[in-house]
Amino acid sequence: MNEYYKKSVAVFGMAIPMLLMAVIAGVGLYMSSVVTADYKVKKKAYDLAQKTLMETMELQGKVNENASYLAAWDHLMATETRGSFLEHWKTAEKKFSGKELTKSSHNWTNYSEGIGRGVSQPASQVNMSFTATFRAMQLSLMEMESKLPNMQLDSIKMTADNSGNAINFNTTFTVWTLK
Amino acid sequence: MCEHSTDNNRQMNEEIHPSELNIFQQYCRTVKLAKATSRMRNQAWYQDALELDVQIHCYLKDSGAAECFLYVKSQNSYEKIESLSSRQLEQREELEKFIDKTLALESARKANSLGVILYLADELSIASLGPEHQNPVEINHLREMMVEDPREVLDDKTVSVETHSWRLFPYAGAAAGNEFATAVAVSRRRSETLRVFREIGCDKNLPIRTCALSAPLCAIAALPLFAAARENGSISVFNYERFTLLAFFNSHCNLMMLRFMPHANGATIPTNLGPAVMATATAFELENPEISVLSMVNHDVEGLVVSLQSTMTASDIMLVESEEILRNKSLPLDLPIEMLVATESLDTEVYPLADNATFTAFREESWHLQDFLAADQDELDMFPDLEDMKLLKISRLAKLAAVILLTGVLAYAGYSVSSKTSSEAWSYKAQKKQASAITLRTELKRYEHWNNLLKDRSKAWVSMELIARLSPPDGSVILKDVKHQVNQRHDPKTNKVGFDKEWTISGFSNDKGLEHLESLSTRDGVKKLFRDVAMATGNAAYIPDVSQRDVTVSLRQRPNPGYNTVAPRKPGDMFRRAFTMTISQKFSGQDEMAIAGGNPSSQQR
Repeated sequence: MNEYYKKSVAVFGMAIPMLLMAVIAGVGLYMSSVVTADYKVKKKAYDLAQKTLMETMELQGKVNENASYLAAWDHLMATETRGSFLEHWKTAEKKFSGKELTKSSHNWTNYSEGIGRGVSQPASQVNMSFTATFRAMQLSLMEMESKLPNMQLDSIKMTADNSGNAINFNTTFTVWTLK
Repeated sequence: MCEHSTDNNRQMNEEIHPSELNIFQQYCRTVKLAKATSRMRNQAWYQDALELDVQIHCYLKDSGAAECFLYVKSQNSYEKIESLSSRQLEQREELEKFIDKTLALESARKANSLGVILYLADELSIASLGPEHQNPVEINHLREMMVEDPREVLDDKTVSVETHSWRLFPYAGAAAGNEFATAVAVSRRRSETLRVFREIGCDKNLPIRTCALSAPLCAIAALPLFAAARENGSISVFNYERFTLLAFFNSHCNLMMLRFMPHANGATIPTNLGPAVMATATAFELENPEISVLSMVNHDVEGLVVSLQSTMTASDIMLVESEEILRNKSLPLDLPIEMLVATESLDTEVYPLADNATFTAFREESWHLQDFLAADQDELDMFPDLEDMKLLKISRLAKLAAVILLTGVLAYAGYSVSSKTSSEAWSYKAQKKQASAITLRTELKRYEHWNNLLKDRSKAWVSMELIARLSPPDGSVILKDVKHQVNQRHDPKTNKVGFDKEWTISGFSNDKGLEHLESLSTRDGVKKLFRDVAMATGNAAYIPDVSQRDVTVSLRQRPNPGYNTVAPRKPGDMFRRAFTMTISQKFSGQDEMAIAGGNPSSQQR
């Protein structure tokens, strides 16, 4: 047997090329694995971002859908004061004669012992007394409560006026405020 | 990378013994030979000359011309071709022409290899083994030693191994204590001719394998063709141009000894042949053995027979003619009988003698077909052998498989990397969407907060609508006092705050009005009342059919103590019955109307 060529063929024909190819394959696989590892991190971030984007879009849609309401409420809450509240009543009273609707008193409390009690949103409580016909009172209340949705009724008492021509109303409202 | 060597380097490398090449140069030589020659594809490069399909058999009976026959193994046909003179045998150009002419013959035209077998009938030497090598058990080892280092084996340590080639030849019929083998030598004079033949083969990229046989040894192997075992033993006399070989066989026709007798001064027979035969026969106690005389080179052997008859008077002396055998086999009549036994295995059924120990050993161990002028180790080292080529072939296949595998791996890795790096995810740069999401979420929460707080859960005008519906238009019911109160209702299951609404209505009614009130004071009646209010006002807080809400009603009636239809002082005095109705509507903390943002600590107050 000729050992001269066998060893050389085994080394240069088999071992070295195989080793070289194994190294190339190893480098290729290593690079692939590095890229795959990076990709996993990026994909996770991307998926999260996509999910966040979808959620954001969904949120954006909802916010847009409700933006007009919120804007109106913000405006309401920012502009309405106790003074403007009384102005609204005065405006409502003007639609009726004195016999039909007369606000006899009002009293503000800086907190609510009614619906707003213990609620995180600040609220005031206003107690008002009226002498009015049932119809005038209802219409006025409808106008006021529609104009000022932050009014929540805590109680209302109706008793016949001594004159027998009107009803005495005693109302207590919780009014949501910003402060 | 082997391709980049210069031509000069190649030329030099081809002539350099591989031991002087570095391992890379050795590899380059292997690759080059695999590419440039048929050594990888053609197995004939590694076969013996007698195994190849097309063979040239050259019979050298003297220093003159060599008779040549073309033998095609697949057809078992011999064809006499042009002879080679001694001058031609020594000139490369002539030998090359001879090969070309032979290959141009019809029967050799398709040859992809060529065997050149030289029958050396012009000379022979016989020598004894050394006394230290007389153990028949060592015969195989001695056979190898005889090739590698003949002096070690031979008795005569002065023999030349440079000018002669030595081989072992067994005496299967040797009696115990006698020589069991002998050493046979031929001159190396024709080794150059065979080397040139092999070189021509290399140049032509055609495997030319050579072999030099001793014609007398082949002649001995041919004995079964015409001889049989004799009870008294037998002697074969092979007459060649320059010598006569005597072979002594025992009663089983097993070879006991060879005796070489040179011809003196151009004689065709040896002197004193008869006495020599007789002396040896006597030594082996062969009484009147049968004597076969074979004239191997067509000499007149009459004198030889007479010489034998003069001493072996009682022996049968038989003159063997090979023509009859050749005629029976339809072979050329001038074909040397040695060629027949070199190319054909004797059938033991046809030739029973071939089954004895001597000829069985010849057949199985090819003692008579030993190559006396085989290529030396240095020449063999110049070329990779079959195993090297096989390894190279395997390495190529392995490399091909590895390249395919590597390509697959790299393609997969490349595709994987490419698909990943070209994806949106790879090029994605993180953006600060989180902040906007938080802002939007905050905004949405703010909306939900205010949407909850501003729900129409408790409206005075809607409550008044409910009260209004208690008294029918016909005036059968009038109301005296109405009290409506909303109270928080804490639900530990949720952080939302539920609430209860309660209406306490007192008034007066007549019987018809009472019926109306009673109709409202049932579960269905009060629900209908609430449903009607909800429909009329659009206020969802009055929808009764919600699982988290409950509406109850109670009606307490009694006779009106102020009843006086004659002189009523108040409108209520006109009604016979007085009543008190209590309506409760409960909203749990899980109701959509429940107040969000409940502060548990504050709720405890």
